[in-house]
This record gives sequence, structure tokens and C-alpha cells, in this order.
Amino acid sequence: MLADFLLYLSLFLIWVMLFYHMFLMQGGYLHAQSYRKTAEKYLSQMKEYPAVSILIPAHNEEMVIENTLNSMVRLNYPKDKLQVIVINDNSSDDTGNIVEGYANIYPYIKVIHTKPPLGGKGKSGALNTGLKHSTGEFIVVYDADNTPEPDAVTQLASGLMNDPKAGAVVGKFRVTNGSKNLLTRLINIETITFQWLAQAGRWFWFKLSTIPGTNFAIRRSILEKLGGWDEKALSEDTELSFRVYNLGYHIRFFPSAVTWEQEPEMIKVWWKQRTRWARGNEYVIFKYLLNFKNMDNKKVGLDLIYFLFTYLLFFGGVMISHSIFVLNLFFDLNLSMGAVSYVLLVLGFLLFVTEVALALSFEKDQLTLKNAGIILFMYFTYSQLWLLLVVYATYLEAKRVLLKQEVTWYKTQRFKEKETSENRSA
Amino acid sequence: MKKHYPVTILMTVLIAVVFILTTHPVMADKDSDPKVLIVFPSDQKEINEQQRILDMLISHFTTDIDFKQPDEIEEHDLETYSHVFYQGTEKEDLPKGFQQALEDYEGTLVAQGHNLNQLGNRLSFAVPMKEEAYTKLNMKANPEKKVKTSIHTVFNVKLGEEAETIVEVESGKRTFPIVSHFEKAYYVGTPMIDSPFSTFLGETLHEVFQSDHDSLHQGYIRLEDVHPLVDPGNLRGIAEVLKEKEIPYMIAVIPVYINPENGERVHLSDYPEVLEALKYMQANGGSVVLHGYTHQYRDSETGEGFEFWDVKNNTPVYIDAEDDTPLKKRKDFNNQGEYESYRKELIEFEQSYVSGKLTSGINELTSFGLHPLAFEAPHYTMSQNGYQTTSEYFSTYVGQLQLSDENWEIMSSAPYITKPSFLHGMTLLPETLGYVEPDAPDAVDAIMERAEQQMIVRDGMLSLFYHPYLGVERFKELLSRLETLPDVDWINLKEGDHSVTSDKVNIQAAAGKVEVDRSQFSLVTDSKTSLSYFIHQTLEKISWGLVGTGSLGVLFFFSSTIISRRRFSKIERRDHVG
Repeated sequence: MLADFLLYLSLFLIWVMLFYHMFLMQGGYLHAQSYRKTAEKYLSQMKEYPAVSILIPAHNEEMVIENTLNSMVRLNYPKDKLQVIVINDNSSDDTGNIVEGYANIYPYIKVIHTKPPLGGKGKSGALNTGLKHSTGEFIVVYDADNTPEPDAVTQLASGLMNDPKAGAVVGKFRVTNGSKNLLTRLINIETITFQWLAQAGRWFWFKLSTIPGTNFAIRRSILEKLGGWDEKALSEDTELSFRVYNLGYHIRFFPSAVTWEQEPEMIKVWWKQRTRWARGNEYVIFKYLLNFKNMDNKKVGLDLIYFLFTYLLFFGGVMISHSIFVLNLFFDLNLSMGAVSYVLLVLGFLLFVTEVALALSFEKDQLTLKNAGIILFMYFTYSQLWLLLVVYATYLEAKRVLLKQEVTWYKTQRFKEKETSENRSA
Repeated sequence: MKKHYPVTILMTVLIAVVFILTTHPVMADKDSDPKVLIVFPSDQKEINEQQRILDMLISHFTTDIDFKQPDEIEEHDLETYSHVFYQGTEKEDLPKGFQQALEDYEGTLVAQGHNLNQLGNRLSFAVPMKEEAYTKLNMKANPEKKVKTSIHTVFNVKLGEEAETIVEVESGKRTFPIVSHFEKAYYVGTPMIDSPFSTFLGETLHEVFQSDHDSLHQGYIRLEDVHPLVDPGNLRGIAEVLKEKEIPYMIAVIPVYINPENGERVHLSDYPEVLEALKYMQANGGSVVLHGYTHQYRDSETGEGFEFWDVKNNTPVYIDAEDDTPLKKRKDFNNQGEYESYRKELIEFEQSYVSGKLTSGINELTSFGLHPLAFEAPHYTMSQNGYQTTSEYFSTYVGQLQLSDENWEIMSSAPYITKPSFLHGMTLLPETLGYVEPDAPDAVDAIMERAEQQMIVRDGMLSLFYHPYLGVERFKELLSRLETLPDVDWINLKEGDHSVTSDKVNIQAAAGKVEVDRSQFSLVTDSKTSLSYFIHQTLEKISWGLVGTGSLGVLFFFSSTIISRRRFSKIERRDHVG
């Protein structure tokens, strides 16, 4: 009886989530059909180029910073309107020197070196420092491992110019090392799906999307009003998104602005990075759940509920259903639910496969036979790792709150790239 | 106002005409309905099984039956009756008043058994002789309609010249009349009515009542003792056979199985496959008959025990199953008053016991989506009080009837559909052919033999039951034999006019439709079983809803993927060419 109850409970929790995802994916599909036209229209309406400051926080980024700066140089944006600020945040490697070299050649590239106690406090701190030195009307942020396409900044700026209600415009990121190994292939598929399902889907239906930490433009006025980034937040992007909504702005997802970034090639690095994200999201859930009443834009509730669902209810549901599934292999739990539970199990899998396949179909050369195989594999491996991740992140967050620990910046380890990836478009 | 006057007249006339047209046939029917009096021996305290058997036979023709004893009858008392039956089950000196009344009576008179010579002129066509033994019976006008029997006796009579024999009995080469008549007076030469004579009497009564009943044999097949632990495979197998042959049938369902070893109660909702099989049957020609709630009373096994009779005491169920105190007798009380109030308590206990069981059964089955249309008491045992209580819930009773409150073994069936007075408005669909006995190799032969006997009656019922645990093959054998019977009209309860009522449910079958009127909320909250079943069903439905929507999603995403991919390669090609 208890097993029955739990099974139904878990199934319904899971399916609420699956339905929401179905709904989002439809939105993503519709957005994928229409975004090019919008971008073309916006570009044609752009009379003048606004002043843009690009902030690039860098902490020991000697392996990748050169590529990033090269792509800055290649940007198709009037250089007199452009300011590139690299915040060399307490690096112990050669990052500083490399950037200095560029700064000497290109006048619009600027470097700020920070040392503790002021520097080395993490990405949010670095961004706030950069913000202080910036002059642009729009602030664009790139991670130090990013290589935006030449039109990316123009696209982001046109988004903000043409849509006065947009507090921020978020571009799309793609993976440079997507075919390096199995892990990066999985991450590549995941990022494409995430952006078309969650970002595009939410934008299409609710005019909501989340600032991803890189490749986005935000109005300076907003940052000033908000007092910059929250230095305590582990995932400063999600946190910032919530505050932007709260001012009554929306965040536009603009897939025409494309950046390429490196993803972890080793599971250990991936694990650390994802743990940080998961903890960050949990931090946001609690911060805003407790303050929900004071939020002016209640639409944020949608995202809050989404996060809450993902990290608590969906997670719980999957855990219960997995446990029951495993237990049922060894003991007869006398489950009264018949064939329908198996049908739902298979259907859940099919939904996953078709949704991911649909997202891949929006990108050039991604829906290949090989990737199709990887999608099947992904469901049983990569996706399941997420469960462990949530457990681990929750454990760390709980420990942090209980023991009142300081937040430290787990920087994602970089890998030296041989020439640019074959995936890259020109 | 005056202008409307002619219109008013016209309307009045029209209404009167309509009234006459619509009400007249009913009134005419009422007039021609026989009104029957059964006279039973003076020293009997109350009606007994012999009157009830006669009641069962007569109620096929009319439900207007009175019972009186000779000393209650005065001159002219008989005038209002169209038919008078005198049951001479005992020798006695008939009072003068009654004799005079008989003398004056001009309606149909049927006399049975003893005291023939006191019944006056109208029965003088039959002169009592001595008692004779017989081993065969047949209809005089149709000697083909005959039956062999164990040795019985007949009150032989010498008939007057104009008198006619209707039923004849035979012993060796000698024949005697057992039912004879002269004009509207009949003599039945036996004090007791029992089988197989009751069959012949049943046929004869068609003449007595000058009925225009068609020669048509109705019948039914009832799947017996279907409880939660029955093999659903057998149920489905049998259901398929009957569906294919388009034979409607009944399923005697016991909603709860009680394990005799540990007292554990199992409901149909605990065995969804059985429940689903039953629902399938209900949707494909089967009609559910409530066969008790647990089919047991003390600690016997479901399907084996009696539920509405205390076999240990051979009394109705007067005390709780757990209660060991012996029932008290008249001698245990100081006066009649105390004894009577004790009896009243017992009867009230039985009423609430029966009510409780029936209510649980009806409500539980309905909450599972099964709609009982009739009732059948386990082992056909129930007291007169029980029948009366049951009549508040069911319009239809299926099976045989227990005729005495003294002994459960006194039971009988009627040869045809009837509405005996002691069923208080319930219609009896009698079971007449028995069942396939598991260990009897010639069980089906015995059934066929009884069927032959039943067909002596022009509208004799051909009804039997079968235990599904015997399997599909034996059922097929049975069916292939039954198919050799000439045109049986298999009863479909859903086609008939049957109704079932409980505190929460109202089920009405008519013309193939079963209307269920229930308060869903109070029904599902009636018991834990019903509630949990309801929740399960709802969840299951929602789950299938999820499956439906999810499937649409998969379909949508799959086709979108193909469209999107095609469109992409088109854009690519265009870009390439351009």
C-alpha cells in the first residue's frame, strides 16, 4: 500500500515535470522557427551602435585567454564604441602578461589586476570591479574561455536597442570541444537541449530566460540600480536574472548571438563545475523562496517553482521511482499498478529522446546517427549522474549553511586546445 | 370570458376522452385478474410450506391471493373470489359454514387431498377410493408428456361419466386420475405437492386459470460462486464462449472472500484481473446477481458456508456469529409477553443482519462498476423474514426458495417465473435443472432429463448453474448439450424490468439499459475498500491520460524533428547555392 502510494506520487511528480518540459520544448520549437526573422529585422532597424563594455573575468586563464582576446579583436563592432576589460583576478600564472600584451596593441582592450583582500573573491567580485572601470551603456560579459563569433556583440546590442523592455539579452553558447571525447559529446548535447528547451521555451511562453554567465548583454542602468553582482552567490547568473525580473524587465533569449566555449574534458572537472552550479541554484531557491512575498515581479515564481520542482520534487520523484524499481527486482512489493507504469517508464524515455533530437535538429550537423546513439546512452548514464550531483551539492550547501562557511570560487579547469574545433562555423 | 366557453368545453371533452382511452385498458385488466383464496387446515397455526408451494404455483397467474382457514369462512365469503383452492393436507371435520359457502360458490374450485366427501355437490364427480401407489405420471391429453418417479401414492377416485382426467398416474398396467375435473371444479388426488407432481400441477393450472401463456421456454445459465479468488482465465474463457453464441447469462458474485484459516478478507479490488473479467462479462451479455456478501456466517469458507441461515442451530441468523449463548425457548420465559419481546429482538437482529449484508454487497459492487440486478441467497437458504427484508432491496430473486423457518432443507423451486406472496413483491426466476456436479460423470445427462420434465409445462423454465472452476471445456460440453433443447429464450436480466436499491444506490434495468443512480461521493466513502478502489481507478485513469498526452508529445517531437531537419538542409542548400 505504501509502495503503491509512493509509486503514484513519484510518477505524478515526474510527469508534472515531463509535461512542463514538453510544453517548453514546443515553445523552443516555435522560437527556433522565428528567431532569425526577428534578428534580421532588429539589425535592419539599428541606426547607431551604442557604447559597449565587455567584461572578462580571468583567474589563471593563460591557456585560453589568448583565443578569447583574438576573438575580441575579430568582433565586427565599431572599435570606438567598444571597451574590452579583462579583470585579471589574482592570477598566479601568465594571464596578466598575455593580456597586457594585447592591451598594448589594442587601445580598446584594458586590463585590471586585482589581488586579495580586494581581489580573488570569485567571479561576482571580479565583475563588480570591472563594472566600476567600465564606461559602456551596455555591459557584455564573456567567460575567459569564450570565443564569440564576430557578430555576437552586434546581435546582443541590437537586441537591447530594439527591445526597451529587455533588461538583458542572452545569446547562445556552443561547445568548441564537442567531439573531443564522450564526455564533451554528452555536454554538447546537453547544452544544446538546455538552451532550446529551457531558455528558448521559457522565453517563448513567459518572456523569461536565465542569464547564463557568459555571452549576454545587460543595461548598465540596471546593474547600477541593483548594485552589481551578489558576491555571495555561487551561480551569480541565476541570481542576477532573478533581480532583473524583479525590476520588471524581461530577459530576451537571442540565439543569433553565438559564442563558443570550452567544456570540461574530464569527469572530475565536470563534477566540480556542476556541483558549483547546483549549489548556486539551491542558494537562489532558498534566498528567493524566503523573500518571495517581497518580489515585485511574481512571474519569477514560475522559475522559482521550476527550480524547486527540479531540485526537490522531481529529484525526489525520480529517487523514489528508482528505489521502487530496484526494490521490486528483489522483493515482491505487491504493486497494484499494472502495465501502465511500464508504459509510462518507456514513454518517459521516448520523450527524452525525441525532445533532445528535436533540439539537435535546430543546429547544423548535430542530428547525426552517432549523436542519436549518444542520446540513447545519455539517458541511462549522464542524466542519472545528475541525481548524485544533487545529493552531493545539497550536502555541501547544507554543510555551508550549518557551519557558516565562506563561499569559495571553484574555477573550472581549462584545457589547451589544438587549433579551433572543426565544429566551428566561420 | 364568454368567448372562451366553447373552447373550455372542447378541452374538457378531449381530456375526458384521453383519460378514458388511457385508463380503460388498465381497469379492464384489473377486472379480469383472478382473485384467489387458499383454504388450509384449521388446526395449523400458520401458513406452512404446502401453502407456499401452492402460492408459488398460483402466483404465476395472479398475485391476488388470500389465505384463510375453514373456520374463518362464512356464507357468501367466497363470492369475491374467482378461484378457491382447498388444501386438504389433514383429515378434519369441515365446519358447516364453510361447507355451505362451498355449496353456494360458483367460481373455479380446486380441492386437494383429504376430506373430499365433505366438499359438496360440485366435487361429487369424484368418489374417493383407496390410496394407490404409482411410479409414472403423464398428461392425459398428451401421453408423451410423462415422467417416471420413485413410488408415490395417489388418492384414487372413481370419476363420474362427464368428468375428465387431466393428469394420470400409472402403476404397472393400472392407471388412476391424479388431477380430474368436471366443469369448473377440480380434484387433486394428493394431500402434498412435491416434485415431480408439482410440474404437472403447474401445467394444469394453465387450464384452471384459462391462461393464454405462450408455449415458450425461458431459461438461464448462471455462473456460480464467483468470488475474488476465482480463476479469471476461466471466467474470460466461459465469457468468450457465451459471447460468441450470443447467450446472455448471469454471474452469481460474492464480493468478499474470507480465508477460513486466518479470517483475512479479500475484496474484488484486491484481484483486479477477476474484477476486470467481471466487468468484461457484464459488458458482454453477463448480468451480475448478488450471491451474498461473504457466503458464510460463522467461520466457514466463502462459497461453502451459509450466510443467511444458522446451520448449527437450524434457525434463521438470530445471534452474532461470535455469540455462543444458546437460543431461548418459550419455556425459558415466565410469560408469553416476555417471550414475544425476545422473539421480536431476534427478528430485528436478523433484519439488520440481512440489511447490512445486502447494503454492503450492493454498494461495494457498484463502487467497483458492477451492477447487481438480482439476489440469490447462498445455498438458497433464507427465512421468511429474510425474504421480506430482501424485498426492500431487490425486485428479483434468483434460484430456489426455502419454504420453512423450521428447517432449511425444506426448499422448492417453481416450474416457471412467479411472484409468490412471501417474496413481498419480488419476482422469482426459479432454478430448475440443477448444476454440473463436479464428481458426477453423468451430471449433464441428469440436467437434460430434468429439462425434459420441465418442458411438460408449456412455459417451463430451463435454468441451471455452473461453477467456473470446472473449466471452459466442461462448460462447452454442457452448452453443446443444452443447444439440443428446442429454442430456449435465454433470460437477459438487462432486458427485463429489474431494480435494486440501497441507501446509496438505485439500479434500474429495463429494455437492455441499466441505469445506475448513485451518490458517487457517499458510495466511494461507504467503505475503505470502495474508497481505495475509487482512488486506484482514478489514478489509473490519470496514468493512462498521461500516457495519451505523452504519446502525442513523442509523436509531435518526432515529426517536428523530421520537419526541422528537412527545413535546415533546405536553408543550407539555398545558402550554399546562393
